[in-house]
Amino acid sequence: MTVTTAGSPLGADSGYELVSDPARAREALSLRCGGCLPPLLYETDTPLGEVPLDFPPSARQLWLYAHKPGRPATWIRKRREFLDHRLYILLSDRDPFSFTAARILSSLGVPCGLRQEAEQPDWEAWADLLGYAAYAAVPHAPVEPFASAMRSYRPERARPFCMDALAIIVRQSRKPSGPDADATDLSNIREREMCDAERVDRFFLDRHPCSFCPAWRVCMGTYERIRGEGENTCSVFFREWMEACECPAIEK
Amino acid sequence: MSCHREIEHAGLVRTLIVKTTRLCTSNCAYCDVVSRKKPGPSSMSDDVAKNLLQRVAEYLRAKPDDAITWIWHGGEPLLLPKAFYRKVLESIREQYADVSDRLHFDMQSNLMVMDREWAELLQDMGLTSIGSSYDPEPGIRGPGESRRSDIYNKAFLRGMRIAEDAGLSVGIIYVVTKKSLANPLELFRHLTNLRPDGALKFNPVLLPENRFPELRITPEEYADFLGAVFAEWWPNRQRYGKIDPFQTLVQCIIEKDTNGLVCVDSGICAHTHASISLDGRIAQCGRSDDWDVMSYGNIRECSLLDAFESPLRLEMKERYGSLRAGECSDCRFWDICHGGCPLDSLQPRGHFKAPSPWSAAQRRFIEEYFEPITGICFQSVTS
Repeated sequence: MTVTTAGSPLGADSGYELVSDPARAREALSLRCGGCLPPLLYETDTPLGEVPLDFPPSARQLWLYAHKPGRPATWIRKRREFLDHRLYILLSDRDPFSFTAARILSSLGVPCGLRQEAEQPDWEAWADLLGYAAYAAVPHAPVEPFASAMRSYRPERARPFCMDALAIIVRQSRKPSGPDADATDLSNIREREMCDAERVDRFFLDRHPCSFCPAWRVCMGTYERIRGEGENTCSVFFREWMEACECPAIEK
Repeated sequence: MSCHREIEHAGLVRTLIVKTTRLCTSNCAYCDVVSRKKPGPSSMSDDVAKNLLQRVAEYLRAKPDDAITWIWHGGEPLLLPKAFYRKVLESIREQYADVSDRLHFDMQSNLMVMDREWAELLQDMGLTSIGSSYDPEPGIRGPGESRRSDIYNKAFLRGMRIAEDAGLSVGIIYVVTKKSLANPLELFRHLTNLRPDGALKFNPVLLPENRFPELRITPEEYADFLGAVFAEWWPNRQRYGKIDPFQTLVQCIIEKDTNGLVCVDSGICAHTHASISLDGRIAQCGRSDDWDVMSYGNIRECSLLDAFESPLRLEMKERYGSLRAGECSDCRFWDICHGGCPLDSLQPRGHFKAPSPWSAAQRRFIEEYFEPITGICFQSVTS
């Protein structure tokens, strides 16, 4: 079986195996020592509804990264299969429909998450999804990157929120504490990059708009080049996210 | 009614502001040390420091329940050679070990020349925090005639990181000027985004009549500035941490604890504070030393005990009684103001027996902002 992590955004020691061929995914899942192997990330361009879910039963964690959610009518009836395989479904914000798909999956009880990959994020769409993930009173499965941040956020501590659901679940899978892992304390590489003192100081020395932003503490200028315009900005979104984390009415 | 505020004499903490140099790496617009170019030495000599240590030890031995907080001040105290401070430390270890547990050091520095060696030395002196100042607005803090804030801020940020990496928390004083009034919230966010480990404190700019009228603010403007910031801080205070004067007022008004009042509001500065200048002169405080008023002698011939008991302090001590019976008699904020800084009343009126004009800022802030925003009505602590 070919196992590759070369394409992993988190580097070669990512802690999961990346496959893009369904046959190879099946092969990986049928290995008997499944419980001690790292999670399998099956990445596919096939729309979610068309991904064959004929995987063998396995103790191994399976994450499905579907670049295109496709039409809900094609996958909504697969709820049982998603749950039976204990699938974690990852979507990308490159496809605008991913936001709606994440809501639907979550409402079906399927844990899911979004990865921020779009060159210019739709911050309003992110904020809408946050609103659902944080405030919706109806039962629903956790939506990352919000769920873990809501649990681990501490108002007095300034740390960048992670916008990549994959990075969050990788972190969680590595920690014995599982889903309670600290989502604001992500991969070392990313945190070092975000908190680099010289990079951060530049914002203050240049009086960059980010240094005056109310959400600086949970972003630290990460999205300075894709801040957005008007109400559709990272600042509005991150501020709403902070407020949701601090909202006493939300059960963490 | 007593003639001045009752204080516990046993276990008193005296504050010594020790001005080690008038040299500075910055030329801040509102700095009295920079603007009042005095004759004489530019830095404290080893001999003066030695005399001062003797006086401090003498005081602590005579007052076994008291303690002294020794604040290294300037100019910029880090411009002195490190050897100067090492000698002080050495003397304490060799000659004054018996009082060293009641002598605590603190420092006010702009951090521009902070390096790891300095940070280690300060920790050897027992410092766990250091006070500093910062202003993102160009042209207010910085070296040279044009006050190069780009140079200041770069060095300050570097110094802050070094200090914090070494385990020294950094508190920031922000001086509110006319330029701060345009957008208080943006400014507040910028300052809190710096994430200093220590507290952030706002002070109003205090300028002599003839200097920088474009920076001057009124007590009302200061109160309104604080009010705009308070509206953001109060509901999010867990997020923003300790911001003064808000935290202190919360402690006073809600927790009924006035022990944290700063010198200008404490009503006991006549008992607690003294300043030592480069040549050993003892004054009431740092400002009085800058202004050449309320001088109690020189450590060469005057003990600290005598300086703290000087009859010249009587006028200040009596100030509180006369204010309480007079101009401040109807004020419900007396417990947290005590008429404000005596020096502020000296400047416009020529005597101490008037409340500080800045007391109006305190009153306005509490009545217009603190009480409406928190829904908590201030009640006298002593009533």
